[in-house]
Amino acid sequence: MQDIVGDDGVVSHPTELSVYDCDGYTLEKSAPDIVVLPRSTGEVAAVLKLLRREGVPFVPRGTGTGLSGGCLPLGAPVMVSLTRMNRILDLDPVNRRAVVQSGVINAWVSREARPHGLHFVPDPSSQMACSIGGNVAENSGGPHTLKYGVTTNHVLGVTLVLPDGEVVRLGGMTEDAPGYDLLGVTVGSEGTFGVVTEAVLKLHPLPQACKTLLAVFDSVADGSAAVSAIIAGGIVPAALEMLDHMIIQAVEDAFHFGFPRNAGAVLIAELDGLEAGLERAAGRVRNVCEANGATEIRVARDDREREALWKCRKRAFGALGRLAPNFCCQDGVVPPNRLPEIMERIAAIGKAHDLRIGNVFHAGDGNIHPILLYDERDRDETERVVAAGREILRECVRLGGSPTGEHGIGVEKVALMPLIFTPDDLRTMEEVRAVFDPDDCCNPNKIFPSAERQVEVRAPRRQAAM
Amino acid sequence: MSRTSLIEPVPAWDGFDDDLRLSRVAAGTPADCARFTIDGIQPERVLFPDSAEQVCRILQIASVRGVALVPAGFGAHLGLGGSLLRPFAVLSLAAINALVDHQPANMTVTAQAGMRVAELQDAVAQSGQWLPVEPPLPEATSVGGMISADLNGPSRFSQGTVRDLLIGITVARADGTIVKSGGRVVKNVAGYDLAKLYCGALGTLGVIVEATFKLRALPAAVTVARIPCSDMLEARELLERIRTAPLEPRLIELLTPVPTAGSDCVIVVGFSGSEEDVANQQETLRALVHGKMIEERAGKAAAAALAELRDANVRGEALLKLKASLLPTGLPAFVSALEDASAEHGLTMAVQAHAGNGIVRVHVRRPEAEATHRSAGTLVEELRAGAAALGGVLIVEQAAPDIKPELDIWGGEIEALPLMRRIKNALDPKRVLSPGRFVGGI
Repeated sequence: MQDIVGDDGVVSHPTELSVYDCDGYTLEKSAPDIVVLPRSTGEVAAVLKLLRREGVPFVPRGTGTGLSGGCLPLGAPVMVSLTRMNRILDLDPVNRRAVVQSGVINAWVSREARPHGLHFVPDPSSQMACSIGGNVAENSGGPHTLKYGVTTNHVLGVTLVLPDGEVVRLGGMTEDAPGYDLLGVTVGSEGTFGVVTEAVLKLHPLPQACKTLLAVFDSVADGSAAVSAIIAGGIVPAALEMLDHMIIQAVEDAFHFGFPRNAGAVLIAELDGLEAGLERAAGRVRNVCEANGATEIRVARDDREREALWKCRKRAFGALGRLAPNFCCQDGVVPPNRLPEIMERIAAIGKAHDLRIGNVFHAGDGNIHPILLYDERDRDETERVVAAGREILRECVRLGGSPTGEHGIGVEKVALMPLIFTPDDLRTMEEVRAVFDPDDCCNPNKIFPSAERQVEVRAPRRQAAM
Repeated sequence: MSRTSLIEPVPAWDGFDDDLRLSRVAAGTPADCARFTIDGIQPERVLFPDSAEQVCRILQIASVRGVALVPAGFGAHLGLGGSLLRPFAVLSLAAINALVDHQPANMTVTAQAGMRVAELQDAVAQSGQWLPVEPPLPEATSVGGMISADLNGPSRFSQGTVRDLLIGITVARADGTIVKSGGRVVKNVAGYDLAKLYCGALGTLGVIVEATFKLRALPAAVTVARIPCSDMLEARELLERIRTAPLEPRLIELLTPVPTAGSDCVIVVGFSGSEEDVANQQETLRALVHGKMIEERAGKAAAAALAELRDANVRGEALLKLKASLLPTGLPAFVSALEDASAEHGLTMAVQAHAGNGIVRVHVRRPEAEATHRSAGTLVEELRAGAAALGGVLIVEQAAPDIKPELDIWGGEIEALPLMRRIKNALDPKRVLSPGRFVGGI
């Protein structure tokens, strides 16, 4: 390995390896035997060829901010870290494309594109730390994907090193590449097809103007009704985010934004687009909120206030440390008009298990993030959190949704796959996987319940961010 | 008429017919066979299954009897792709055409594959919504066909393409099992996104039986502005000004005849949204073109103009219909390459480009004097080289049956072709589905 990536490209000391023993899903830990840090596609190819010759399975890793254990080494002694492949190779403002290595941090792309009036749309809350390669693997979302779509809608091509070391380009610089849309299946394949080393990203013009409203409701049910009415009214906000009573209090304690402490829920609605029509659209959102019981509506006066508001939203998790030693953030989806129902069910499940559950979520696309508070020293409570989390996700599926909207299956939700897919569905996915990785040596034991080692989740993770 | 390859199985049509009768599958008339003619070759049979179960049964029978199947809707786009390698039966989904589930509050719709796109649009329009995809001839295009042929129109510039809106799919695999991926919610990362594989696969991987899409709100106002340009230089300069202006166009098209000298090229810019939004953008556009005469249409006239742009690629006879995928900035240079080829081969052409996406359609008119096969093939290769020099690719979307067998439809260098063959092999190992239509003879 050192011949390929240099002496400084191999990590094998146990203390250093402990850095790589989990991602944002910290419940399960498993350190690799070595970590290899290639600097180029060629080096990645050489590394994979060597591993293939030796018959050693491996796991690709970006910056380890994933939330479902996607880069946890399970039966994969070697980790291929892309963090040294962190260059933006090309930025073409006229054609609105950027070519980047997969270790590039999400926020860097928008930072570089901003002087040209452009940005990279997917904005997961971890965007200051997460890598583009990880975004591609997980098909990451974020608050502003309601209007503009998720990662898969913003990637034109990738360079993929197959597990046998062969380098292929899927998609490319131009649209409509002839052939099967292998790019489309690779995005969201959770690192099981090979190692993505480069990506061609679509850039989007920055909106000319933004208007951010904050509507206060007595209950999450009222707020959810407003969300449904906004969507049904044909308004597509750039973001539509809800915080419930528990989260409001925690956030207010931490950031003193000025949320009303007694509010049952607040809804953040952000509209963007051309300056001229924005006022009217904001007026419509205001009317809909009022018609659905909003007790107060505020509009962010300037960029500073808007940024403060988003800081509260994106850092809501950090604020939860005040409420309990540990928390578990779940990720599920329901059709938006079932939000009131799932919120009732979550409350009932919390009550049945004697747990405190807060909610902060992407309301516009029905992507919920219930947060279950607990103390990991309390074994019984910890087990109740796991049980309640599963029940909530089962309810999401029962209401016509999905057990994951943006965090992925990874190791965490393997056992839930049969809830939504038949054995034939799963067999088909595994056959497609075998096209890319016939020997099952790239990120093994993930996604599929048939994986040799079924991962039994006994306790939820401690920390998470969305 | 049909060309049979020696290595392919010889279909047992009698046994095929017997099996179908037992399964009560409705067979079409000779008129149906004529209607589904592909590249001048009639199918041996046309089948109209009425359920997903019947589709599966047909697939199983075809697999046993060595019969090739071409999944289809109404047959409007079957000229796309390479020539079929074996005698075939058409499997039309026309009778599997129900609207399964429209959830206006969640802005999703699930439809069976044989539903006409126009009917789907009418149904969701009652709730003030639309599927923002514009396949040509929506009244003759099925939902499954729109996905399989990846049929997108001018508004892809602002609305995305089929793959961006498709959130779930149900497919009958070649072995006759029903499988699905995705679901009915707009955000979902559970399992692989296999729906993408069937987009643009021309029915070579499975038979789509049902699909779920995201919807958007129908805009209150739509306008279309036609801006004539005296030459490509002016067009290029204007496109650049539109790109950098505070506008959010729904579409940006460039239309030009080739040769361009002495004839107008036209830029078409469409806007949609609230009345206020659209009026403001029209105003901005007017200021941008410095009082140049522009022809503006709103309401029904705008809708008619959009329909014309949408359908242009399938309307009109042509010797060849080509599609180039380029970087948007490559457009003027590509038009120059077309000029050169036009002069050299004495051919006239019509160009329609989705200028913001870099997608260019070229219709090469049949010359007065009969063109030889050789010159058509040479022309395609020259233009393909021209596209390649600009970092793009070029495919043949339609060719007159007399010249098609001599043409390289997809181009010789397809990235990741071995992987694509393996995908085909995994999902349709007996090559039952549309053999020969796809890249590399898949």
